[in-house]
Amino acid sequence: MKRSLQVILPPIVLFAIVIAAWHFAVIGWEIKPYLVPKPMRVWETTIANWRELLGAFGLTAAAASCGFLASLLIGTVIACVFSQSSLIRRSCYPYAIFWQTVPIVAIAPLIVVWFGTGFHSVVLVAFLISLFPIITNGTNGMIAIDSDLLDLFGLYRATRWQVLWKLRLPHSVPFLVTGARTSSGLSVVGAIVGEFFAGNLTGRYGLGYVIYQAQSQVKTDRLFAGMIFSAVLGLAIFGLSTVIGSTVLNRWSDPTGSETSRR
Amino acid sequence: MATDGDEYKLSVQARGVAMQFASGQTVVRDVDLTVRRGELVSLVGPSGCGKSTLLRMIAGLLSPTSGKLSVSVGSTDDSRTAFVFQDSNLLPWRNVFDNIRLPLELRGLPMSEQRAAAESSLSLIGLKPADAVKRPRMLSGGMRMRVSLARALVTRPALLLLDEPFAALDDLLRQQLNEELLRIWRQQGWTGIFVTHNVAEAVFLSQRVLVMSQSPGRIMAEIAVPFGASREPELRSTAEFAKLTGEVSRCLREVGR
Repeated sequence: MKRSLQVILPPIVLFAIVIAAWHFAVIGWEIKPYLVPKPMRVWETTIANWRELLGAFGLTAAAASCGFLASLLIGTVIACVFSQSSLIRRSCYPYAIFWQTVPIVAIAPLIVVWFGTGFHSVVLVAFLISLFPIITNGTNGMIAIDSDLLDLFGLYRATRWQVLWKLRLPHSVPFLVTGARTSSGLSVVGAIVGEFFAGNLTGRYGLGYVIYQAQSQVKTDRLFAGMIFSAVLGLAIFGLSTVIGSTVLNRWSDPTGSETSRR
Repeated sequence: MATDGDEYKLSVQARGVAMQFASGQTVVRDVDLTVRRGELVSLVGPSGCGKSTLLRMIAGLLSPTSGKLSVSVGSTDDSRTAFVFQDSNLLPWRNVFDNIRLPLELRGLPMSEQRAAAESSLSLIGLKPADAVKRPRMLSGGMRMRVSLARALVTRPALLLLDEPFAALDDLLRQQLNEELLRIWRQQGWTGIFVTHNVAEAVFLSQRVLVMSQSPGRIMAEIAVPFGASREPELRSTAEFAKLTGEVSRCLREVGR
C-alpha cells in the first residue's frame, strides 16, 4: 500500500503543479484564450462535447487499429517473402528504407487524390506508416537464425515450407512483438494525420478532423481537448499492444505463463 | 569374398578428403578414416583443427572439395544419420516432447507414431513424463542436453554424430552422461563418431581414439582402447585408463607443436 502510494503520488503532485502553473501563467501574463486557454476552459469544453469527442475517439481508434492489424498481417507476409532469398532482400531493401524515410504527411494528400476521402483512406495512411517496423523486425527475426538450427532442419530434409512454418516464423515472434509495439504507436499518428487530409466525412469524423477543424476556426480550447483525447488514444493503444505482446511472449517460451511461481 | 564381408561392415570411409572454404582457407586435408559398423570412435584434436567440419561432411551438411567420402548406414534410406550439436539447439517455443518428435514431424510420420517414438526416447534418456511438457527455458544445461540426445535418438539412427555435446557441462554431469551414452550405445548398437577435446571422455567412450593435427587438420594417430563394451565408472581410476589418457594427451601435444 505504502509502496504503491510512493509510485502514484509523485506524478499526481507534478500534474497538479503543472496545471496550477498553466492556470496562473495564463492569468498572470494575460495570455489570450485563443493562444492558450485556461485549463478550466479546456475541461469545460471537454465535458460539454464529451459525446462528440468520444465518437471521434472511437472512429480514430478504429482506423488506427484496422491500419495496425493490416500492417501486422501484410508486414509478416512480406517478411516471409523477404526471408526466402537474399536476392529479393537485396533488391527490395533499398526501397523499403526509402519508403521509411518518406514522411507520411507527404504521401497522405496523394492517397486522397487516388482513393478519395473517407475511413478507408485514413486506414490506408495508418497502415502505410505502421508497415515498415513490422517488415524490418520480422525479416530480421526470420533470417537471424543460428546456423546449427538450420543444419538440424537440413539434416532431416525439411522442405523450404517446413523451415518457414516451423522455424523461421516462430523464431520471429519476439522480433514481431517488438515491431508491433513501435507500429501500434505509429498507427495512431497515421490515423490522425490521415484524418487531417481524408477525414472530413459527412456526419462522422475522428480526432484528427476535430483538431484540424478547431485549428482553422481558432477554437483553441477544442484543439486542446482533441489533443488530450489523441494522447489518451496513443497511450491506450501502446499499453494494449505492450500487454498483448508480453502475454504472447510468455506463452511463446513458457506453456504455463507462470514460470516464476513454479520455481 | 572376404572383401565383400569387409564392405558390409563398413560404415564410414573417407579417402583423401579435404575441405577448402570459399575464403581459400583449407580446414581439413588428406583425411583417411574408416569407421566400422557398430563402432564408437572418438575424434580429438586442438580447437579449430576441423573436427566439426569433418563431422559435418560425414553428416552430409557439407561436401568435401576433394577426396572420396562414403557413408553407408546399412538401410535403404540414408536419412538415418543423426547429429547432436554442441549447443542443445532446442526450439524455445516448443516443449520437451514437441522438440523430441521434431525429426519425425519433419518426415511426415503420423502423430501416433511420433508420440510412441518420442515417449520411448524420453524414457531411454532418463527423463520423467512430467518433464515432457516443460519448455527448454525451464531446464538445466544437463537436462537440455539429454533432450537434445533424445531428439537425435528418436529416429533410431544407424549413425550418430556427436559434436562436443557435453563440452559446456561440469565434469560430474559429463561423466554421468558419458555412462548413459555408453549404455544406450550398447543397447541400440548404432555406429558413433564422438568429437571432443576432453581426453578422458574420448577414452572412456570409444573403441578407438583418432587424433587430428592442427589446421589444416588430418588424422595423425590412432589409439586403440582395449576395454570391453561394458565399462563401469570405476574404470576411470584404473592404471590402464590413466596410461591410455596419458598416451592420447602425449599425441595431442605432439601434433600441437
